[in-house]
This record gives sequence, structure tokens and C-alpha cells, in this order.
Amino acid sequence: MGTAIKNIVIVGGGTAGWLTACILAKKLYNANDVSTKITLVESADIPTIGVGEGTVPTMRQTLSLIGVNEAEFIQECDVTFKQSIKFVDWLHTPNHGQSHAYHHLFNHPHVPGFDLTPYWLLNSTKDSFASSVSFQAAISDLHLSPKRMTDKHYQGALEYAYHLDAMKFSKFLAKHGCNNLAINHQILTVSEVILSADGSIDRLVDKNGESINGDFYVDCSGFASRLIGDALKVGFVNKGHQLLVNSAIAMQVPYRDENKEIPPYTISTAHEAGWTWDIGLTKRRGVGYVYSSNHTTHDRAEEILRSYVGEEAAELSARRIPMEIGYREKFWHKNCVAIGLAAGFVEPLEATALLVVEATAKLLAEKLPSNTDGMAYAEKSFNSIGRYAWDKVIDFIKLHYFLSKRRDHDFWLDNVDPATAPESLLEKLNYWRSNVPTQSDFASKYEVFQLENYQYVLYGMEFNTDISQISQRYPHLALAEKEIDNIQKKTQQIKMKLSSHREILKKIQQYGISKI
Amino acid sequence: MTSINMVPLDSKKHSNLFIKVDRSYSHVKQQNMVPLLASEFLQASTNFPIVFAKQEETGKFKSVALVGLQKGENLVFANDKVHSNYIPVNVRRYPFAAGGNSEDDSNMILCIDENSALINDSEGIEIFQEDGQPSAATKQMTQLLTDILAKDAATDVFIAFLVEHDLLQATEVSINMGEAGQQKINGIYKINEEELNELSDDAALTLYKRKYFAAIYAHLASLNQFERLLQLKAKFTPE
Repeated sequence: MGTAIKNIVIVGGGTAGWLTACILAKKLYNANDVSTKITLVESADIPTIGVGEGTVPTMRQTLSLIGVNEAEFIQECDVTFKQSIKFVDWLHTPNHGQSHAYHHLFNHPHVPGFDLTPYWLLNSTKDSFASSVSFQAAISDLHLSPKRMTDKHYQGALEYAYHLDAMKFSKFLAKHGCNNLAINHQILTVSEVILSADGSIDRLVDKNGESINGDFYVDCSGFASRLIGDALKVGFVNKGHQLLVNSAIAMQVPYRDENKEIPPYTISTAHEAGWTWDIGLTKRRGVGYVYSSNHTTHDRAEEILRSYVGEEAAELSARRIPMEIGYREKFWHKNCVAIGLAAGFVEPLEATALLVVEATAKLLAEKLPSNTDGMAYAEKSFNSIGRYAWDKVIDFIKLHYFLSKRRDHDFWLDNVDPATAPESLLEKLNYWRSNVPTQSDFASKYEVFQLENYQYVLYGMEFNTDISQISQRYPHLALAEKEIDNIQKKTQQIKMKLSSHREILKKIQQYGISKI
Repeated sequence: MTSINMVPLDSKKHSNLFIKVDRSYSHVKQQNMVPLLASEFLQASTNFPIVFAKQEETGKFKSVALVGLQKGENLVFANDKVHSNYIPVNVRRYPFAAGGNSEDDSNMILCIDENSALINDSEGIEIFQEDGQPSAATKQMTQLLTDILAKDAATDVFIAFLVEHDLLQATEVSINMGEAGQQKINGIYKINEEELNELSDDAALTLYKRKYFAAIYAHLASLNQFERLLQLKAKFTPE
């Protein structure tokens, strides 16, 4: 039998490192078995990037899985609720104050088992897709909280995720991991990675010459990619020809009025050569402009960001962040897996950074073999799932650009050029021009974005699915009308039961959240 | 129903007012729950189900007597009758309430619901005597409310103990309403007997020393009173 894999060393103490450590600890430890050991090595000298502040609803399951107290997390990480991403000006260039916006909601379209989409398509006098199929659009626009004080932890009246302060979040997870999950935390800087004869990692050496030994290593060192890139020389697959942005500039904007309502959604606004994110936390907003330096200058980008924020930006400094879009040729190589920015990166348009960390850490916990005999297969399987998942993420991000009717800048002209779109996206879009998207278009559960996500973006962007030739396949018009009507009625009922977002966050600070 | 308007009792403003005696307690007739103190569980348990419910404002648990099977329905205090041999103190105190500084319970301020239909200028019990001093009944009420405040705080401590030891669980009560089908009552919580039996020696000793056992078993026994509510419901004609 091969050598047992008991000693796992994670390099990097950002959110990726700590989330991975907590997930592995929770899934691999057993109360009666103390032989598995998880060590997280963090450098005091290397700052974390700390701009991943948006999450998707899977974060609720993840935090619950690792045993985090939701109220403490909300209280300590300046958390707010997120019910949607609101995309502004993605369809048309804003014109004389005319602005287009749509919601990508977390609540799935309602009416389980009955897809309203074809009926919505066939109806000519229709409301927006999101507000026709879900009451969450209206609830979000009213800045209401998805959660009531009577809802138990990790549950709400509506689906939700979180906005969080990434720096505080990694500290919070570190505390949780060390206190409750027996993670061994070492502050030291890896200066050398020693390889074995077979090309796997033998040990790490810190700058004082001390060795750190592991049976298995997880590279969470961020863009530095200290193990998988630097040491193991796994190549990088650049996707810059499909996703054109390659730079970001970010700013933290404190609230001038602490009672100002906080939108319970991320606002993503398209601009001439990229888009801004705008995330409201309890104490400040995190705002940034993601852009293509091939299409605009860094100075012009800063100007766009400052003009978006308005006069509040005057005394604030902005931070430039270079980005490389793409992923590693392999995520698992020998006895090392990369998770987080070390594995790959796409622009944070759909909060994919933390989402992919959660998914890959869980996959690693599932796939990590008990001994070295299982390593080759685990590597192969993990890599094929990983690459598939990344490619699908890229398809979905590209979709947002590709459907745009903006022609105000080369950036948008290049983005709608089919030569910049993945073939796998083009063939689906071609099919959906005359056919309604269905579950069977998303056959793998490792596709991070599923039918509902595509529906919100496709029809938020007014994608034209022409089903006039097959309208007879959809005979339940009256029923659909009634269901859409019911959703509007339900909106009126549910909004009476919800409180303002800010108010509920304040109450959670004061009273906490019940676990039952 | 007019809304409640609790104001501190004022010897000048309220000098000539009387309180009508309403032994049917019709002010609660549209409530299906009334607050219940832990110290009342034993007496209440033979009359109605005692359960725990979350407050909308804070999400914190309170103990309540369940007196109706759906929102707005009160089967126990209905049609000018009371189908109970025990009246919870938080029902009896009306139209008075304890106000004041929540940080310091000793500083109780006697309040009155100015919108109460029981208040009038001739009928019932006077609030103040002619010399401006509180009437004997008012003094008694002050006593009662001071007592309620202390016992309410003790009830919160009791509930905090239950929560801390994971002794509460959500329970869904399904009631067969005959032709109207099954009806579910959501949002109510009870003590989990299995968890109770698994308590550590230390926790069990604390329960014993704090005299919580009576309240716990009174609550568990009271859950049989759902049947009684159903019987009341069968004979019930809405006003």
C-alpha cells in the first residue's frame, strides 16, 4: 500500500487559504482520529489582495458546514446581504439620463416544474423578465432585507448571499479555524520549495532555513502562485483574448451618513472600457473599476472610477490591481493542488472568486486519496472537472458582454466580435435564438452557473429567442398569465413582512440570530 | 381594533378616570397567543398549550399560551366568555402595563393604554382618589406589575438556559380540521425531550437548583391541550 496522506500543508493566509483549511479540517477530521494534520503557513510580509467581497448563496452552506456562527460572522466582517447583482448600462450606452438595468437574482424563477420563460417570450406587453418570474426584483429594489429576525440562522424569506470585508473575513476564519477546527497556524515565509526526484514537493524551507514537511500541499498563495507556478512550473492558460479586461482600480468609500440605506445587491455598471463594482458593506462601500488597458489608459480609468463615485472620492486614494485572466493548465500536479488566485482568475463580475474556492476546496476534500496509490487518478479527475468548470465560468462571464448593444467604444466592438467568444458559448446562443434554454443544456453539476443564471442574464439583456414557429408547443398561456399575476400579488404580501436591510443588520448586531 | 397607546400614568391628566371591569378580557379576543411567565406554567398547563415563539422585533424567544389555532383567533377568551380557570397575569393587568427603563427594572413606571375601551369617567374602579393619591386598586396593580417585571426577567433567563443547552426545537403542529382539511401551525417551538434526557449532570443540577423542572414538565404536559383547543373550536362561532 502507498504512503498515507495525513499531513496537509496549505500555503497562504488569504480567504482562499483559510476557507480551504476550514473545509478540509471539517471534512477530513474525525473526532477519534487525530492523525490527520492541517497546517496553514502564512507570511507576515506578504499582504493579501482582499478585494473579493461578493459571494453567492453557496457561502451559506459553506459557513454552516464549517460551523461558523452566522451572527458572529455578520457582526465581525461588516457583512450585508446580497440578493442579486444589478447590471446597469450593460445593454445600451446611457443616453441623456436613460439607463438600462436588470437583476440577476438569487431566487430561482418561481413556479417549480413550470417554466414561465416561453410564455414570457410570447407575451409582447411584458414587464422585465426578473420581475415577471420572481418577487425578489421588487424586494431588492425596495432595499428590503431577505431575512427577518424570526428566521433561523442561514435561512431567509428569500435566497441570499453576503457582501463582506475580505480582510476581516480571513481574520475571522483564521480565528475560527485555529480555535474550533484545530488548524495549525504557522507564521513564516516560504523561501524555497524543495522537489523530490519524481518532481513532487518534498518540503518547504522558510527564510530561517527551517523545513516544513507535508504529504500534500495546497497552493493558496494568490497571484504569486508560489508552488504550482514557481516551483512546479505548471503553465498558465491565458484567456485574455476572450475576457478583455486585465486591470482593476479599487477604492473604499466610507459612508457620510450611517443611516443611508444599503442596497441588498451588488451594482455592476458598464462603462466605456470595462465596468465598476459597487458593494455596500455596513461601514463603507467597496468600489472598483475593472477595465482593459489595451483599450484605455490607467489615468482615464481612475477618472472613470472617481467620476462614478462622485465628490466623495475627492480625498480618497485608489489602488491599482493588475490581473491576469485565465487558469493553470493543471490545478492538481503530483502532491499539490492550487486553489484561489493561484489556480486561476476571472474578473469578479459574478463573484466567482470565493465561489470557485468553495467548490474546489470541497472537491479536494472529496477527492484527496487516502494514500499515494490513488494520487494519479485523483489528479486526472480533479483536473478534468476543474478545467470544465473554469471554461464554463468563462462562457458565462463572456455572455454578459457578448449580448451588449453598446457600440460606444472599441472595447465593446471587440467584445461582441464572435472571434472573441468561446465556441461552446456561440453554439448554445445559436440554438437559443429559436429554442428555449432548458435544464438539459446544463448537463453537468460541475457547471457553476446553471439554467436559472443564464435565464436572468439572457433575458435581462433582451436576448431574442424567437419561438413563434413553435408557439403551439406552449399551450398553457392562461395558466402562465395567472402564475405571473400571482407573483405580483405575492410581492405585495411579502414586502409587508420584511424590514429595511439596514434595520435588520442593526438588529442582528444587537440581538444576534437564533440557531433554531 | 384601535391601536394601543401606552402612556405613563399621570395623577393630573388621569385624575378623574375610572376603569371598567371586564371579566371576559375582550381586549385579547383577536390574539391567538398571550404572553405567559414561567412561574405561571403549572397553573396554565391544564388550560392551554404553552409554547415558545420568536418575537418579530428581536427574534428572541418568549413563552406564550396558545389560545387560538390561527392568526387572529382566540378560542379561550371569546364571545364574552372565558374558557379557562386560569387568567395569565399579562392578560389580567390590562389596561395597565409596566414601562420604564429596561436596564433597571426596579424603576417601574406604571403606564396605561389611553385607547382602551375600559377607560371612562364614571364607571368601574377609580384610578386616583379624590386627594390625588393612587387608589387601593392602583396600588395593587403597581405591585402586580413590579412582580411581573421581575418574573418576566426570570423567564428570559430560563429561556436563555434552554437555548444555550439546545433544548428548544421547532415543532410543526398539524391539526385535522375535518372538512377544512389539515391545518399547520408554524413558528412554534417546544422543549426537546430527548435532549433534555441527555443533559449533562452539571446542567441537570442547575435545572434542579433553579427549580426549572416544574416549568419544563408543565410545558410538556400542556401540549396535550391542543385537543382542548380543537374541542373549543368545534363549538366556536365567530363573533
